[in-house]
Amino acid sequence: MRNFLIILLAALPWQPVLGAQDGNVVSSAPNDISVTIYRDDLALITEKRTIDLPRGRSKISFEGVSDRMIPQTALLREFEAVTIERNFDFDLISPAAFFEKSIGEKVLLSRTNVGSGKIVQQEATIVAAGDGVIFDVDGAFEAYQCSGIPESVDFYSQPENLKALPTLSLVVDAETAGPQDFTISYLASGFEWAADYVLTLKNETEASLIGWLTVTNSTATSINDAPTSIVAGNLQILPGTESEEITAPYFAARCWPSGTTRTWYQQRQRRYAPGSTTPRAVDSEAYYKFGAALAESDAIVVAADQIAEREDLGDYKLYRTPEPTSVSANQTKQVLFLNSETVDIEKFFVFDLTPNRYPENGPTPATIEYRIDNSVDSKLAQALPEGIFRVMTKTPSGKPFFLGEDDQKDLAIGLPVKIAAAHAADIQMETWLTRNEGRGWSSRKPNAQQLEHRITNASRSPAQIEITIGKDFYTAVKVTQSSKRVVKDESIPTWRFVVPPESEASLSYRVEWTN
Amino acid sequence: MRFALIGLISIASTPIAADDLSITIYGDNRALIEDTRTLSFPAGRKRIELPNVSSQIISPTVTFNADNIGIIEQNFDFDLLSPDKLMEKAVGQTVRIVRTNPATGAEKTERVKVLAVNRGVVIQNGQRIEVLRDDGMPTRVIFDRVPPNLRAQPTLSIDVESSQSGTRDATLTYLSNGLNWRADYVALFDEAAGKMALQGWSTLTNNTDTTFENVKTQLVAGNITSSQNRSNNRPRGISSGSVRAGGTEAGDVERIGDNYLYTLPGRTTIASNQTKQVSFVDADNVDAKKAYEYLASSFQTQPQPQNVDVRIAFSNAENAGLGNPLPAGTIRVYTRDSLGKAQFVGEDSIGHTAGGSDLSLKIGEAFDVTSQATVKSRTNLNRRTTNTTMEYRIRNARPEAATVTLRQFVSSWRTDLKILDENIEHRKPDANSFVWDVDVPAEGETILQFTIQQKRRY
Repeated sequence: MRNFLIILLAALPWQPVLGAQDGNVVSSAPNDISVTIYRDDLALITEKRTIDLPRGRSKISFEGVSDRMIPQTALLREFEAVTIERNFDFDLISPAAFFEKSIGEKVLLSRTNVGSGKIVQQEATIVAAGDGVIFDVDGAFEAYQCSGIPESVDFYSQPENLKALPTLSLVVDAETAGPQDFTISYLASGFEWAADYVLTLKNETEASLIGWLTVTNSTATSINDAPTSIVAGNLQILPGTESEEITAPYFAARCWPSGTTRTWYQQRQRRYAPGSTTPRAVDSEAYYKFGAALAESDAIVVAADQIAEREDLGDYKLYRTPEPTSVSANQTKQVLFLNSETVDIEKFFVFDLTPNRYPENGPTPATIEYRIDNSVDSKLAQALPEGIFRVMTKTPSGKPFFLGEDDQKDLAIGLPVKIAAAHAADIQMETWLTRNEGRGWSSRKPNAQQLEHRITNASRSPAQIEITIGKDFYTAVKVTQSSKRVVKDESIPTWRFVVPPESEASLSYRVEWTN
Repeated sequence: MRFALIGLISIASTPIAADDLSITIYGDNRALIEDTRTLSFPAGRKRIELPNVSSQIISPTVTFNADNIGIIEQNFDFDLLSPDKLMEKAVGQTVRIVRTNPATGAEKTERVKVLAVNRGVVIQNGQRIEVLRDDGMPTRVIFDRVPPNLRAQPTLSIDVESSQSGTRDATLTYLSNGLNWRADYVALFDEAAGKMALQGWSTLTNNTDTTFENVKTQLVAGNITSSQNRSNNRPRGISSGSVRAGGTEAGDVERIGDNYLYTLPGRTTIASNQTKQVSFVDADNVDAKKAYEYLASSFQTQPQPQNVDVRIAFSNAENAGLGNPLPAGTIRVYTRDSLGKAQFVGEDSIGHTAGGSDLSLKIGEAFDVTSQATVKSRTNLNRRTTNTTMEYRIRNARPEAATVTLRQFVSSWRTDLKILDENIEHRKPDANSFVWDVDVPAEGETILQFTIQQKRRY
């Protein structure tokens, strides 16, 4: 049946209906296009088109706009005519729409006699088409596709307002005829970008840092040779700003119940509208892999010779690809935006403690944290858009080796980068709560606890340890006695010390806080 | 204007061809449709069929008016004509069947009686009873007629009693679902000039299967209560927090009741499955400025710096360049990049906003301006009194100085609040917040520190 429907559709006479009325102008493609991609499924597409306008009122149809356009965001500028209205039509040509819009119209019904091969053609009027098609053939009524005889229909005309693709059109009033430049911009769904960083360690204090922007186009429209920009930062995007799923209903040649004596309890459910079919092309596998082995997948295109330029756009960061690029339909493309040969790093083994939530059952491993000073005077001094940092090193034989990864949110210059890449099996800490002086919720006196830690280093290199308490606590924590010096770091009690190879250290202190 | 005849209707295509059609669209997916047609009424009883009504008509809201008629009853038939229904209604009646011999192609027509239609069709052919197409052979079924109450589309029919015969105007009024509108604004913001160009479009959507041709269209901005959303406390169009001060300017907008009314110029066609936009506000030179704001809703240490909100403040007062109320919708903000290209920088929604109001749109968060809170100390003086010292470290990585308005929320419910100490002077806009305007130098930071006393009354 499905095959048959396709033949039916192909047999329809496709006469252009547009053009019959005066003042209809079709703009088939843009002369020039540029795209700005935002983080969450959004892009701004700007097109330049030259359109030869007749004098007076005319309707301009724009072909080749993105299939994921958000119509209410369309903007048209820089032309000399009065805009009367603009329309976005999404009543699509489909077999179902063709029948539904042709109720009351005459069509040519053809039947093939399978015995003789003879084709009989009759003129028929479509009487109903909502839930199966009924024809009026010379005063007698028959259903379509119910007899088992090969049947097809030829339509004499295309119903008005049906479009092959969702179409943006504009009704304008021009004082003078002639070609005019139009700039159209609109937001579209189906585009995404992400930042990925690769930090390759050279030694304990130095690393190289590169950053990639990965752009994904999951729309059906390719954008060719377009200046492409990417905006980093958190824009407020409201829930309504997304393209609607436009799907034509399936044509259903529904008949009366067709059970026969051979139909043994066979319950079939027929559906009108199919579910979502839009592909989501973001391949998390590919995202994950590319850090080590770049571009294994065919769909990923790496354009890495030059570095994207950055500028401030209001309070966001805008990156421009070095030259116009093409983002094809269902493609992922990567552009280098950061390439720093040498950045200074520090490696810490970190234990973050929270009062009342101590790990008390045996040793806990340290978090390995790589820190980059991204201050104005540092070697890096770069705005770092939100993304995944992957830490790599080289094996003694020179092969790259993946050490771990961590997410970072947008980091302005001056904010420290802390990449918690992994846990260390060799650096561990044991915790004992030696005295609990808690005094109840509404007491005037603060709560207090005394703690003791043993920090062990089972590796062959010295370990720089950092211990904090109260980083994630609801109130301020104060250390009143301590066996080691407390370094204040952003008002959270912090200790820093080195544990030599294959040895241990201890720390004991008293903390207090007020509910 | 009013000469078309609509009487007995053969089943026709969807566009409504009334003599005069006007539509008032409310923002809650409803519209009031007024459809005037010239009909001929014979004296006495007559059934008037009106198939060309909105496919999403709310039938209980229909009123039909014409001179010298009385309405006996109104029916809305939505039993749709389909092969299935046609066969069901043929039970007990005769139909013709045409069988084709697949070898020779010979056709044989017989008259049979439909006995039952239950997951299969049982027919009686003379003395024999058989299942339709049990042999799988091609078999056409030909019906002599279509039952009168099966229709190709939902149809309104009205039985009227006319005291006089003649042709006269009849007006059909009803509410329909599936028609909606909202405002979409485009704001091109020029930070350096402190100006904004604001353009407003009304966006109509027609999700009915009906095309309305040649209609007078009006859009209503107001909060109509609907029986469907009455349980929902906040009707659509009530401010989303973007209005900072209410206005007192009427502007030159048409009003009906307490609603704004926008009339589209001329007549237009609202096609099925269409979004239509018509411009209704266009102002080039509206004063606007950028502001950074941060709302701290509790006293909490933050391990990570938080990006502050970027807002654009403007007024729709006449002396600020606008002077009109703004119906509820979305304002999308654009700004020019270094190449002069307009780039999208975020959006916010507004409720129906009276003229002369102060608005503040949140468009996003600043990449380079952050706030990080630390609870420096917290002490209980007695069972009722707590002193808290907060520190907000506000960093600015931008090449120019910034002012961040930091708002500390703290509940005054049964509590006396007092700032004991602060390094920047606060403002107190309402009972539950303290506000500081913190100046931060370019590529620098400022620390705001204050101690607040909360004294519970009992």
